[in-house]
Amino acid sequence: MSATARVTSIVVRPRDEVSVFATDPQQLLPLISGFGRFRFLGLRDEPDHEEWEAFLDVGTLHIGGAIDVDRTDEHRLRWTSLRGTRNVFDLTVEPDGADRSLVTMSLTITLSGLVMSRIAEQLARGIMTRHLDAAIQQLRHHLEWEQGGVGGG
Amino acid sequence: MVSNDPAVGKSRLLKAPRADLSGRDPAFIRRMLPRLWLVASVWFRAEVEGFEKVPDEPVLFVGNHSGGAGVPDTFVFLLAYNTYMTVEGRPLFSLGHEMVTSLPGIGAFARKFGVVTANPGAATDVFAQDGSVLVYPGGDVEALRPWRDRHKIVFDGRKGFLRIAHAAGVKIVPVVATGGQDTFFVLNDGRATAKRLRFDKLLRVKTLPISFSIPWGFLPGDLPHVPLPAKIRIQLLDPIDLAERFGDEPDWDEAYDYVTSVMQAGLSTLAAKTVLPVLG
Repeated sequence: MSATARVTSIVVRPRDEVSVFATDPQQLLPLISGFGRFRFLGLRDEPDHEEWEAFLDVGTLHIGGAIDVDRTDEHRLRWTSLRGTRNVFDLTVEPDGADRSLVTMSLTITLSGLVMSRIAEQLARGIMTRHLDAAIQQLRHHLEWEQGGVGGG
Repeated sequence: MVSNDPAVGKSRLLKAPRADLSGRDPAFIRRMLPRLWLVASVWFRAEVEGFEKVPDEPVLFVGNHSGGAGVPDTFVFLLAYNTYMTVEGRPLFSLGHEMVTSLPGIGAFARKFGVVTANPGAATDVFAQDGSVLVYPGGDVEALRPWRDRHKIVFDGRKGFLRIAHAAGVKIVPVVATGGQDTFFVLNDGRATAKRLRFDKLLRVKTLPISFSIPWGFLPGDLPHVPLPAKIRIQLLDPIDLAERFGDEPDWDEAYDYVTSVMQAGLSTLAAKTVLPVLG
């Protein structure tokens, strides 16, 4: 069984500018405080694919493992798990007028089991939603105000 | 010192106490700290972090308001401030809604702890006495926001706090808190209802949602209630110098957007520490 959390936010910056930052794990992951552990492991055989290790801090648990990061689309960042917690992350940047972007983040996890895994997935959905909301708010604030955005930062 | 600001007690039905700064009672605060610490630690498992960011000068603490009439995060913050800075240190006054300061019992308790009826003159008086001020710009609208919006900053467009800080030349220290809105449940946004019933004019109450609390059950608005034992987390963020960032004549809309953006990012980050609602 699996559970998906999804959040969206308008970022008052042009799509290209948002995409350059948001689809680069070197820049994105340090900004997202929920990812307490992450590191680059190396390039994969496929073009524009990288192997990373990323873990979400969830109370006393660290959820994550090795992931295959797909950077083939300049407006999209997607990864799938290779080891550890089975998860799929997807970030897309779409235009919302000339000077604004719509950023969507989703995270899907899959747990083994029947009844208990369903309960755990429901709880995980809330946890993931809060982490994604924190990530998208940090991304929005950074791009709008701390990186020469509307506030001049 | 008593503020003569005409804004104090301007609702038509309430007789709010004047904003009397001498109402703060350090000896009373000292007596209350141990029992408040017990409540904060055992009932709310409170965590307050970031006081090391506060500069050694008067500041305007700006918080997001939660918990309805119970305002548990306010008392946790006042407790934390008075223990970190000591009771004899720089005094902290909290600007509160006249619904709070005029309540029998609770109003007197709050005033002794440094809560004064909100008005700009009171803040100026505090800064003149080298004290710091705690404000909740969202007021009742934010404290009674729906549970689904519990991790949203809802200042309802109120920008007076920016002018207060800028005019006094004090830095803003944003304070974000989670858990207060888990101590009871607000089911809907009651702003339209309050306006229709003219509560905004009669009581200066801008929202009248349906809430669920103990012992009242379902209730229009909120009354002092027994808070659920929700975990309360409070995080102080980096100080903001409005004059340095926005100059001598700020664009208030831009300054408002910046402060609320900082606080929304901080609140969402703090909320991500929550594993289970209420339990923390």
